[in-house]
Amino acid sequence: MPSNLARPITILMADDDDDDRLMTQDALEESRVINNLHMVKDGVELLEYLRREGKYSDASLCPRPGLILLDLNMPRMDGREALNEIKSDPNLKTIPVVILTTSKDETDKIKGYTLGAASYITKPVSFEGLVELMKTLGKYWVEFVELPADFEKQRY
Amino acid sequence: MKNKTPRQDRRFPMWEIASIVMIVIIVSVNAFLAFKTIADLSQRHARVTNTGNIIVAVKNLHIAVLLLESGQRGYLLTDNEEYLEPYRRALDNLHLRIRAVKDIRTEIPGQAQRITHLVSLIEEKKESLVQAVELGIADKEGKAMKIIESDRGLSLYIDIAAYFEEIEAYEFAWQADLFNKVEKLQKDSRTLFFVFIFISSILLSFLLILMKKSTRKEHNHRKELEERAEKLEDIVGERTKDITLYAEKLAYSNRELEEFAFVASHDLQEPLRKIRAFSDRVKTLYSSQLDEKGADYLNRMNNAAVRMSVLIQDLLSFSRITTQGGTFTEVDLNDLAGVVIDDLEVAIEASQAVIHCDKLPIIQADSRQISQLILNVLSNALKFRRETTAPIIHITSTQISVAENDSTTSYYELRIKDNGIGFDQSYADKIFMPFQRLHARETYEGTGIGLAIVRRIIERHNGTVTVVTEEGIGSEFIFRIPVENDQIDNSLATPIT
Repeated sequence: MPSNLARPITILMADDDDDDRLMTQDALEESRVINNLHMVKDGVELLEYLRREGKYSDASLCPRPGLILLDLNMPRMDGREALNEIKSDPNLKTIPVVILTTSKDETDKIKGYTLGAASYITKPVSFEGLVELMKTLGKYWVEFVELPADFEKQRY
Repeated sequence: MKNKTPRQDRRFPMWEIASIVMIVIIVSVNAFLAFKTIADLSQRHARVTNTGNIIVAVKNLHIAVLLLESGQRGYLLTDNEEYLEPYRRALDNLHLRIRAVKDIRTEIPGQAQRITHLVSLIEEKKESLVQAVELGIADKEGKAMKIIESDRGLSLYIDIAAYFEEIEAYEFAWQADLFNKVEKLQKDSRTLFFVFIFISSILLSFLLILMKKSTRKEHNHRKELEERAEKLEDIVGERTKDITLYAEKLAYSNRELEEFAFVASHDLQEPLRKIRAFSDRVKTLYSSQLDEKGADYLNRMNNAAVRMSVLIQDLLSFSRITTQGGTFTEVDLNDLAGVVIDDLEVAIEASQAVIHCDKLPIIQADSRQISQLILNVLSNALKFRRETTAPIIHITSTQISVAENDSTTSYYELRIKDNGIGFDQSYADKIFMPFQRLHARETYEGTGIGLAIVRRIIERHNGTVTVVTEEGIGSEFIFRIPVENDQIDNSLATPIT
């Protein structure tokens, strides 16, 4: 029996596309997955959030995510670079990262897994598809996957 | 390229043959003359010898007569019987010598008569001498007769001496003449020999020079050919390099094109996705607040987005015919057609279509692309069917020969004939152009890229496509593809997915 059923998962999504962020939010709502969704626009903001820097200094407003949904093609710092940073940082590398991108490129897939992503998912074309995905993601990551107990407070 | 006239190039030109023939003739003439001269000289030598022999014989005769006379005188003067021995010997000798002279064969005209005359005189003389001796032996009283005989003998002897001299003179003269002639002949033939040898050497050296010239000519010829061959090799090398470079550039250009097409289509599809997604959301979330018109507009918007998405996909497929074309392999059209017909099973059932397929050839082609081609044509045949008639499609093939430039090329001719709605023959070219449609969207669906893809595929296979059609009757698509078909793979090294 999963131990954190009661606790909603904090999902941090990094995507530069306004519409995609909106749709994902809608889809998550439709899927009825209990969640706490936060959004960032690019790799720089993503790392700032994770390191509680800049406008993300207030920890209470920026809870540590249990899952990162990462788009690959973003300005300033793209998903690949951000992933590398996260997985090289001892404080951050334990956070599971799911790549969610439009790219079907083999090279991107290989790179993603090599850098340490948990999964690589191509964005569904239709809204229904997106809802299905969110449901599935939710069921998997929230209901079945276990995180360490003091995950939120983890520091090395 | 210069073309030498055949005459100059023949291995043995006319003049060389002529020279050889001439030398052979001259050498033969030389040999002939040599033999003739030797024969001549021998003959003359013989004649000279003969003359000498004659002179000797005549002289011996003279001596014999003198000996006889002296023998006779010896006996008659001494009256000694001992002197009869030399006399008798001289007489035998005289007989011998007369016989020898009678055997003489002289060339000198008149000489024979003189000799005969001389011999008769000598015989006469002999007789008188003999007579005197006989008288002497018989009787010593006949001494007075001897004296008379001596007088008679003297006049005889003078005659005989004169004849001897004359005969000898003639023979000597003849001999001298013969000697002169022989010397002259020797001198002449020597001169002639030298002249001929000289001419022969000149001709021989001439011939040698000619031969040397012709070998040199051949050598130069060969060198020229070698040089030309080398130059050609160089040019071919250059051309090959050019072609390889061009092929590389083409492959590079194709890769760039494909990358662009892929990225463009990808980036173009993305907004369409959004349009479809959000219009769906509006329909879902606000259907209650939308009236019929609103819902209709939304639908049209969505459909337009879907169409554009399909259009972009079609364009990408169209461009990939070139950029992602595969190398040609052996393709059995029967198998290919079978698979396509299987794929179209649903549509075939739905329209109750019947497809007759003849035995088709094995061709050299890109199997994926030819499948696409057949699929597109058959799909059209099923789509553009007559309302009340089930589609009947015939697939046939033959082999033909077409004269091109200076040679003939063999082609396979594939015909796909349907009994659909057909169209006006004047549009026969137009329908192969991208996005050209002959019907409204509502009547028949499709972007109008199907036949453009078909034509591009067949042209990539070095072939052609034409259509024969009649409105209300049907259409026949005729494909020609070369039997011998090679294609350099100028597609990309790594396919983009």
